Amino acid sequence: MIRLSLNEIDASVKKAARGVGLKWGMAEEAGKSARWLAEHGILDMHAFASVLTKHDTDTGWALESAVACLDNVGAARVICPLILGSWIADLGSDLNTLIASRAFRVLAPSLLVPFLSRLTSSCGLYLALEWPMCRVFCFDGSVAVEGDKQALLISEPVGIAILSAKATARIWSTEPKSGVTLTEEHDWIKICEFGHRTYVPSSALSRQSGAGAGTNDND
Amino acid sequence: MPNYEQVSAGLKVSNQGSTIALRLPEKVMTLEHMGAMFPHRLSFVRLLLRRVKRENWQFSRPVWRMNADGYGVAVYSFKGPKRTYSLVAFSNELAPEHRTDRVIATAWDASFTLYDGLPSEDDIARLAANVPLQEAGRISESELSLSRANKSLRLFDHVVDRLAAGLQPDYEIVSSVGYLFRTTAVYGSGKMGAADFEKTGTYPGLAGPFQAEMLVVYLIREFSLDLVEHVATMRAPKKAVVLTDYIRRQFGVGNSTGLGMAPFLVNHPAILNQWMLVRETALARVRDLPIAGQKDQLMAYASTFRQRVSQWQTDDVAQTHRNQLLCDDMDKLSAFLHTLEFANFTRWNEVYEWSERHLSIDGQEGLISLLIEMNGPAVDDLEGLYDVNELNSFFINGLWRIGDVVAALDSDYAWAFDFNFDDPNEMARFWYVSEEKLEPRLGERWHEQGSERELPLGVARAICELRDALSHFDMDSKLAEFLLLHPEHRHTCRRLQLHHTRPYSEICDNILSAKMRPIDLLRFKLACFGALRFDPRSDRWLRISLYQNAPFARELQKSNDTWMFPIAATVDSTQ
Repeated sequence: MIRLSLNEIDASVKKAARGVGLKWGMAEEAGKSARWLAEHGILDMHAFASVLTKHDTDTGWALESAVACLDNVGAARVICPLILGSWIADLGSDLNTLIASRAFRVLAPSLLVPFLSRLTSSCGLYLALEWPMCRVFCFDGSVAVEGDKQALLISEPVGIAILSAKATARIWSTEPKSGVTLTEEHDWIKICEFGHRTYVPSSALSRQSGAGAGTNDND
Repeated sequence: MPNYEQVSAGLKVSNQGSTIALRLPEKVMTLEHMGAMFPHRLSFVRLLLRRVKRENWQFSRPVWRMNADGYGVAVYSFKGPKRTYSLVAFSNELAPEHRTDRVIATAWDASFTLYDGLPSEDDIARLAANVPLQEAGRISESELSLSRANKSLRLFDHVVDRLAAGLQPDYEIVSSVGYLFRTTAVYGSGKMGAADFEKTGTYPGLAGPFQAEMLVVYLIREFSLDLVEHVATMRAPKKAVVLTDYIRRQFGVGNSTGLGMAPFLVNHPAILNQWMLVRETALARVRDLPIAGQKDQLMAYASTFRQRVSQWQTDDVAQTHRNQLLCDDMDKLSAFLHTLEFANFTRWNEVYEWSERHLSIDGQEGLISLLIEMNGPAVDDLEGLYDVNELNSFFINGLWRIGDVVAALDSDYAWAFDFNFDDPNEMARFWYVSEEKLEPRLGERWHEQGSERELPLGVARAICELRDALSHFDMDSKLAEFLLLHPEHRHTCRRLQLHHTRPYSEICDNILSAKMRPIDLLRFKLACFGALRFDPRSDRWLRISLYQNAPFARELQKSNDTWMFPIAATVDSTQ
């Protein structure tokens, strides 16, 4: 078992996203989303590993996802939740025009929740995200879930809808968390492996142009 | 919060009736100016010691289990009004061939963690199994920081020898090195499982910038002096003496700082803005103050500062020359003040403006630190301006129209368009994370592999690329659509929107240029920390000292906060 701080989660997921080819700005969104989910007790490392693996094996998926968002064919194609989420968050109050008129099919829909939550903070919206067996309400930057955790953390493609809705019943929500304790490290190892790709191996020249006292620190 | 207003055009400061404008970012955010900055009374070490004194934190050393050679464990505790923080220190034997200050080293003379509370024996046992391993170990959210340090063997052995012989160490040797231990890393903010800053920043006493890290270094200084006296006493129990207070004060804590620290300033623009805003607002306030009654005081400050600069030792030829120029500047300043006619010069602003015409940039920046130093009551409330929530500036407003983005680029980033990125020299470098070192490094783009894994630190180049991409887009369309189709500009657009309301958030220079000197970035950050004695070892790393001349924990209540720029008339009562 290993406990990860929020900062470690943010930095590692960001690096991993960059490692599978997402642009830096999107990688930042991935890191912040993972951090938010961890802080709210609903981070599923497997969901992130699934999304990043899809990017790794299908290099055209990022562009296809972006085009699907704009072309109103979202329900026909599986969209990356990080790309859809970033776009939705950027739309701000313009999201209202999207609600009810669009449906999307996304991989690992829980990854959308941080973006919706961000919108509710910045625009004062009440939003709900719905997919089979699960409904997530976002309001004022917090989250409440109707449904069981298994449905929430699904990492398969599902059709989702974004609704303007307030939570109507007492449903489970989470206390703020200061990190995550991993009981199973497989997906975390995968994320670290993706992140490792952002490092540059040493060369003779880079060793020459060092940045410290070198191998001898005796003074 | 202080009463100030930021206006992007003109940057007027309205606080305290001042009409002095803040200095323009295009001037002060250049590497030339940032690389000439000195610490000041709002530097982070000063904030910490003022708070510890103000709140009367109680200092103790509840654990000291060291063998005759100085190897073992110690705990130092500071009990504040609401919370106790403890430095847990492990001292180990280290063969000289293993003493490297590289981040990738695997063994150190001493390792440390800052514990939230007073550690139990079980805690100490847990930490003993992890802290000395540093990156190879794990700590918990009860720990706020992780760090390590190596001895300056030459000075440590000298001090032990002299004390054991019943003598004080040679002042010249002490002064020339300036520290017994030199830290090679001080980690915070969640590293290796430690508590995140979002948590520690809410702890009483640790809310300001790098306050947990500054506390660690301060307590390492206590530890280093206790350790050297302990070893001397164990060697010659009947003959050994302890250090005099005066000599003791000459020891700070050393730090070797390399490229790993540089990207922080680019990666945290909102924080950078506040750091500079605090200092520039302080400067604007003191420039507006009357000179009357303070002329002799500034002359005394300039004289003492000159004396201290003349004692700084470095093998770096350029730094030696700059130090000499700085000494000359302090002489010029004193001569000017001596002849100053009050009929023509009534406010410090006139002296500052004189410095722009007659002093080197080091001299100008040195004067600023002295002016701020003299006027604590006018500036100390600016401490609150350091508070910043980075998350607030993370979100992108996609409703901006492309025309708005272009207008912001042209007004806020005009400096970036002065660089010609068709010139290979302007693109000569790239920043990356080294697989071997696991920290940022600087590569030569045209001679080394790996630029495809470049970190996004070339802001000026990215701004030019964004401007070019936008010129092909409909000016009435919205930024959200542009970013969906051009995610390669998402990072830059986030910066642009942040910078639009935070004028000091960008370094107005090209840090990919062949001419760029990384130590300019390092010096700026270290000056914000409160470091003096800048000793460049190349253009990529330098050594500094923190807390040299600072009062020790047991002296704090008697001290009067003049330790960084002491002058004869206001020397600490404890010195």
